[in-house]
Amino acid sequence: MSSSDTHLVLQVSNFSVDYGYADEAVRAVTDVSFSLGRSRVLGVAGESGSGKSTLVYGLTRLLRAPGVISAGDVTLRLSGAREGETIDLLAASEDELRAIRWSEISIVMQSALNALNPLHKIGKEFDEVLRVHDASLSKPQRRERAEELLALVGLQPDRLQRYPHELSGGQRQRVMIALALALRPQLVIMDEPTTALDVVTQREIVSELHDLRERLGFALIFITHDLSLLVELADEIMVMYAGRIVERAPALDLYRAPRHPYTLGLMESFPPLTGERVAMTGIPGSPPNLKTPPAGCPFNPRCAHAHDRCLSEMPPLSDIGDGGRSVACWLHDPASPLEVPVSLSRPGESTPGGVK
Amino acid sequence: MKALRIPRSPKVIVGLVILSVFIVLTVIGPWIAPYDPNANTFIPNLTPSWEHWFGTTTLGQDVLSQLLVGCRVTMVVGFIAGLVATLISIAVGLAAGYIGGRTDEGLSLLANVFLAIPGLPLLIVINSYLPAGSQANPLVVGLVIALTGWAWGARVLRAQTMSLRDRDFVEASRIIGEKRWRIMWSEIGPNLLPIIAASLLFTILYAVGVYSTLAFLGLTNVSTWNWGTMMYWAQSNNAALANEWWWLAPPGVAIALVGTSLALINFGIDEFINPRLRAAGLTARQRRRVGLTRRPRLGFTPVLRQSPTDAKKVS
Repeated sequence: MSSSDTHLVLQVSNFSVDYGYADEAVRAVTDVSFSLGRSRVLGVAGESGSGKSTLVYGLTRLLRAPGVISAGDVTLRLSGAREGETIDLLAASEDELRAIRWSEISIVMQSALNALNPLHKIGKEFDEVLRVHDASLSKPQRRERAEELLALVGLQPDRLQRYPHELSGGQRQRVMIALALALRPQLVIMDEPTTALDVVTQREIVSELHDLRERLGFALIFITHDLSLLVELADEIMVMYAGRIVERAPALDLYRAPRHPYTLGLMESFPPLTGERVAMTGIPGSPPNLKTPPAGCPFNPRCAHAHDRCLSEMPPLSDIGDGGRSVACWLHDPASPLEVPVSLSRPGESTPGGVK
Repeated sequence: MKALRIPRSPKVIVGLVILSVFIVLTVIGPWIAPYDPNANTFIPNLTPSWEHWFGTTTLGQDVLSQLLVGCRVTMVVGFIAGLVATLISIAVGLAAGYIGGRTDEGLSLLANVFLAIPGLPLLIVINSYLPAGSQANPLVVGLVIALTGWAWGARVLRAQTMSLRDRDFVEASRIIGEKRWRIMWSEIGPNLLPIIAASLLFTILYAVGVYSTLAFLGLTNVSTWNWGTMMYWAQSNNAALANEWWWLAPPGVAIALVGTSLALINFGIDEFINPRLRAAGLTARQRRRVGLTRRPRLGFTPVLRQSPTDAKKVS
């Protein structure tokens, strides 16, 4: 992470989201804090229902009713003409939000098929957004820019004349990514953009995103449940469980040596792309009901290393040293008399079987 | 357990209360009527008073008694017609939409014909062919009204069935060899419930309106008391010209109240079927209680936090 504050694009502190109101409220995201530097990639991983999508939709104020943001601060640093200013997304008016959406923050959803109007040619989608954003652009200029954007994501210019149904799933998703980049936003959020695609296409898109990020310099929040995909793309990974961050670490460190039992479980749920075959163990049980979360650490019913303290006290997300890593687990509490299990104490340098 | 909780939306509660009052009156109305509705022994044209809550008519009859007695016939005709018309529309709509092909063409043609024929003249014609005794029979009149009121519901159900028939869960049951009637009944049918419920409510409303219209025009047996014949007698005795509002208004208001209650209940069905509507449908008071200053809207998630300065003090 960049050292100076001026390089931060997004700063989130103590962010919480509820579904429902007052007595019926269920807390879906609890006390999340993080910051994101310019042209950095933050991966957010976790099972279905862990709150990862709720987190980003909450940050962008896109959450549907009955979602309510119940605590926190979200500060976005603006670029372009308003360089140097910051905006508090949670205090922003609708007009302010409208002004920064797409041009400062853009979002790519999971289902590209439903996001494109089936009656519009691809070119029209680009033309519209470019025209609305900058009236001074002439028609040929807009067309040129649209072709340029398509080229960025590896599509031929003639695709502009096509309708969405004439494109494959991967091509449509690329169009969505190109559209998201159309106004040169400095923060792009992608919510499982590759989940509906096959592994080969996933890989292509991820490596393209990697290049694009380097060329265009936008910061990226990438949500997925596929940790191995994140490792290739992200600089830093946040693992979420039951609406909380349970582990945050530089991507490679997290991959080589997970510190939280849940992260370890997630990694053992995906086969490595290379290397010898290992048994997939997965994580027993299912995520907790957030209406009645278990006492103590929310992961304790499924955790192989749970002990007395886990059943009564919630572990805070605390820095464990080791290159800026934080973990919310009592095993890593310096005051804990317990031995850290071997699988969770692997030194960062060593590599697990078969990787790299 | 949660699904069966009492609706909390005030709209629905008001609708249910009004409708239950009329249903109770349907049952007990003729018994609690203070006088014989035909008795013309009172002083004519009395304004509302303790003896005659809604006054008396030019013919010296008690308006309240007529209203209470007339409630039963009006409501029974409305409900019979609504139920029968809805059953016909389910049968026709499901069959046309699911089976398709020639069946669809035939049934759609039938529905279109009934939609194209103006309902009221058709009713008048059919009604005039009924034997005089049947004209006073609520069951027969209800069936006749149902005959003109089913086509709209059938069209809507057909359209929805067609959109459901190619969904994956229906195709899956077809592939594993479920019988056609079973797919229609247990795969598609339950998905049509919200539309069926709405169609039932509005067909009842239509039937009450049409029956009152027929009676108002004097086309039913005018010696049977219902809200329409009350207005018929009021009209033929120039109640409006003589400014006898207590005679003309009660049946009209009663019809309007029944209609309002049915429409309000329909809102409740919508909210019950679509929980999103319910969440967005917090009343102004509920919103204030939880601290929202305005209705939650797409793209503008409400923020309920302490003011940023407070939050900083805490942290």
